[in-house]
Amino acid sequence: MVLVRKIELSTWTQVPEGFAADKVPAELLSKCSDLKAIGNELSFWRFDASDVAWRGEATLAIVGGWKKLDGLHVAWMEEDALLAAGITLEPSAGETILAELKNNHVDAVRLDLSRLATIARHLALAIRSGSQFHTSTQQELAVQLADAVEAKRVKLPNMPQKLGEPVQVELARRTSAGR
Amino acid sequence: MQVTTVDDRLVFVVSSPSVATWPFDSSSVSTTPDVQEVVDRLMSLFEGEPLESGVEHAAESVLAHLVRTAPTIAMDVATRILADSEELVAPQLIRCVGRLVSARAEAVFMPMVKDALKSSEISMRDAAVRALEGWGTPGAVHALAGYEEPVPWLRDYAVRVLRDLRR
Repeated sequence: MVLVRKIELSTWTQVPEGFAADKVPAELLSKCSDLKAIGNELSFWRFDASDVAWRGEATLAIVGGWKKLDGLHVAWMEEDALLAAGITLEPSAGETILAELKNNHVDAVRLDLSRLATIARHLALAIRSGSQFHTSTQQELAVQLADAVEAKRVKLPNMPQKLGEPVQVELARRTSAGR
Repeated sequence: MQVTTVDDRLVFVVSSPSVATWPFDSSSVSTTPDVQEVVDRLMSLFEGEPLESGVEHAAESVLAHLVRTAPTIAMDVATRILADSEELVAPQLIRCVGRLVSARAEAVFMPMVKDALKSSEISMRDAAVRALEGWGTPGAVHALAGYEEPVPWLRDYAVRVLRDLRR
């Protein structure tokens, strides 16, 4: 299983002078919300990496919780590695309009600074390996959400206005193209 | 004087407890906001709650209001933030202006976004690409078309954005 989290890639891929590749600059805690532990918890989406569709599903789950469409960067780590490092994961209902994906959500709980640093190190190594992150443009996300609407996995009116508008444009484009 | 936002309006607290809403309707009070006050307010908003993908940010309404009512001041404010702020705030400002989808916003902020594309900081270049993606205009396509990015993941992202915008 892999644990997926929305991140801002540019804050992770730039390693300041004097830092080894597995080190996480302390200022990362204040520079972005990637490590913002609310209630001493960090939110992750959990997927089976042997499922070929898992990346698309993780993307949908995350964007399904948004108020507006934006570009997306995600990174993922092996669940086993975090568990072995002493991180406790607890299932919780994810905030997404895709009902069938809500249960793919877990929280890393009871995080103290040491455990938060452990997660940060794993994330940094995953991202800097070059193989455990993914980006999606706004249009790519609109296409994915439109696919989900057409597959009746989500209803357009259930989307917040600024998320639904680009999806509506994509659906209209498909209609005019005769799809 | 303190600056805050209420219902998509800039509110200037002149002296407690009186509250004046900018633009002021009293002829006895200045009708233009103090640039440094707005700069401080925006810096505080960005430092207090970093801009996050998919989530609206309080600075958007401040900047949108400025662009609508005082574009020259909007430009002054942004210029000052970019000149004075550290790595934390400047990329957020660039991303934020890309969320202001209007011809006026693009006219005001495009030079800054183009400068950000040439920055040595990847966070600034990333923010600029995403601002242009947000505008999605012919001007944005033109700016991205000549862009050469050295970092592979951002180059790949910019190429895909350009492809999307040309559809």
